[in-house]
Amino acid sequence: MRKFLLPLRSREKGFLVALALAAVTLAIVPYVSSSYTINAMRDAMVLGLFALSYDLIWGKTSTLTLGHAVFFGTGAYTLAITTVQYGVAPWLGAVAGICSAALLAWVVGYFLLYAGVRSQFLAVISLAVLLIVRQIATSWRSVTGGDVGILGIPPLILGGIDLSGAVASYFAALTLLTVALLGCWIALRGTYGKVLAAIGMNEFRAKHCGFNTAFHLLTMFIVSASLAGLAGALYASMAGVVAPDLFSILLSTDVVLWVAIGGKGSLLGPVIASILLIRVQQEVSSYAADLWPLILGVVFLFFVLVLPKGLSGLIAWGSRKAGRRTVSVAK
Amino acid sequence: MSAIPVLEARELSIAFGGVQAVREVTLKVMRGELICIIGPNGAGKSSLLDLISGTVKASSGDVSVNGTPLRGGNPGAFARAGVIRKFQGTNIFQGLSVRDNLIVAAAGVASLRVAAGPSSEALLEMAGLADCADEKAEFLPHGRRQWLEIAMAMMCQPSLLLLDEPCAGMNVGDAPVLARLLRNLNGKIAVVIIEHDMKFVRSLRSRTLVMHQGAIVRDGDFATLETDREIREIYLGRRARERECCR
Repeated sequence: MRKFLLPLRSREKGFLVALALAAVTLAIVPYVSSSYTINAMRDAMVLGLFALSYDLIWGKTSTLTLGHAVFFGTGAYTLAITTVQYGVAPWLGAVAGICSAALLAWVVGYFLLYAGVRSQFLAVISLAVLLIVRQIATSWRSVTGGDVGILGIPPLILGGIDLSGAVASYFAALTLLTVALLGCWIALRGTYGKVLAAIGMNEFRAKHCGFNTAFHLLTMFIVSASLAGLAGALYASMAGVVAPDLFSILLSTDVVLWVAIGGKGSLLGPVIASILLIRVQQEVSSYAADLWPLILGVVFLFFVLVLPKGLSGLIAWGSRKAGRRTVSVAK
Repeated sequence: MSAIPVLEARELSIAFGGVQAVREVTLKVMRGELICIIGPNGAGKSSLLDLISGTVKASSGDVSVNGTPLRGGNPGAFARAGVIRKFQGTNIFQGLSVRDNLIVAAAGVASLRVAAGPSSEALLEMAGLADCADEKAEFLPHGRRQWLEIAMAMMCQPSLLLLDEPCAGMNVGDAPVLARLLRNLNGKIAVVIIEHDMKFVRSLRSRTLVMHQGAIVRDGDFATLETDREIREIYLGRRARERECCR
C-alpha cells in the first residue's frame, strides 16, 4: 500500500486539480441542461471511459491496436444476452460483460503478445479480430439477434438505486468514470507506469533488464479490455439496445483519435477530448451529417502538426507559463 | 558454491546464413573474474556476447548460469539469473529521464534479489550523471550515454556483467576512470568486456581471450599475448605483413 502513497509532485497536483475541475464541471451539467443534453453527455462520458481504456494500452505502453471496439461490443453484447436471454440480474450481466471482454483479451493477447507480434502487425490483426467477432454477432441469430441485435435490455440497478432515470444514470456514469480515472492514475503514477513506458519505448532493452515484457503487455491489454467491456455494458444498459454496429471499425479508429488529441498516456486528456469531440459531433451532425469527418480530420491534423502532446500537453504548457509569470511577478 | 562458474558455455556455435560467426566456443567465467575479449572486426566477439547474454539462441551448444542451464533467445531469463548486458550506448529508454532509466532498470530484477540494490543516487554520482538526472536520456551525448548504460547495468545487481565496447565514444579522461571502477569490482562481480581500445585493455591487467574467425585462439594474460607474434599477425592482419614485405 505504501508505494501508492508517494508524495505528490507538482505535475501530479496539476492532474488532481484538473480532474477535480472536470468532475465538478460535469456534476453541474444536469442542473443547467435539458434532458436531451444530459443523455447526450452521459453517452459521451461512457465513451470517455472507453477512451480511458484505450489510453491504458496505446498511451501507456505504445501498443497500437485498431480493433478496440471489439471489447466494448463484447461487454455490451454479454450484458444484453445474459439479461434478456437468460434473465440474469443487470449488475451481474455487467460483471459478465467485463469478464468476457477480459477473457477475449486474454486469449487473443496471449497468442499474439507472447508470439512477439507487435506494432503494425498487431494493429492489423486486432482489426481482423474485430471483424471476426462482428461476423459472429451478425450470423449467430439465435443468441445475438442477428442484424437486429437485442432490444429491451433492462436498466442497471446498483446498490438499490435504479439507474433508468436520466439524472441517476448520468451520475452513475460520472462516478464510475472518475473512480476509474483515479484508480488508473494511482496504479500507474509510480514505478510501474515508468516500466510500462520503458517497455513501449525499447522492449528489447527492457527484456535485458529482466522484465517479462509480454506478460506486462498482456496484463495491460486485459485491464484495458475489462474497462472497455465495462464501458460497453454501461452503454448497452443505458441505451437499452445492442446491434452489430457496436463492433465498429469507426469507433475503433475514433478512440485512437481521441487519445491522440487528448494526449497519449495522460489518462485525463483522452477522456476530456472524447467527451468534447462527441458532444461537438452530436451537435454538428444534427445540422449536416457529412460535415463531421471533415472537422475531425482537421482537428486531428492540427494536433498532430502543432500540438503532438495533445490537450494535456497544451494544459501543462499553459500552467507552466502561468507559473513562470507568477514567479516573475513575485520578483 | 564457489566452484560453480557464474557462466559456463559449452561448444557454442552460431551461423548467420553461410557465415559461421561463432564456432564451438567453450568458456568458463568464475565468480568475480574479469575477462577481456579482443579480436579484429568480424571475429565474432559481439555474436559471442549475444549468445551468452541470451539475446540470440545458439545453433548448437548450451549455456549455464550459476549452474542452471538456460535456453537462449530469452534475455529476460538471463537477466533474472544475473547476466546483465550493457549495450553500445544506444540502448537506453530515450523518453525517460536519466534517473528514471536507472529506476526502471532496477525494477526488473529487484524482487528476485535478496540484498537491497544500489541506490540510484549513488550510481548517478558514480557515473557522473548527477547534474543531468532529470534530463531526458535522449539528450545525453554519446559518452555520457555509455556511463548511463553502465549505471543501468549496475542497478540490476548482476553476478556477471557483459560490456560491449564500453570505451567507444567516451571522453579521453573517462577510460581510466572506468578501468579503475572495473578493477574495484574484481572479486565481487564477474565482468566480460569486448574492447578495441588496447590501452584500456592493457590497463585492466586481466585474463584476455583473443577471438579470430569465430573461435577463441588464445587465452592468457594481456602482457604475454601482446608479445605473441601470431596474435599481432591476426590483429594487424595484412598491414603488418605488407610492412614486413616492404622492408
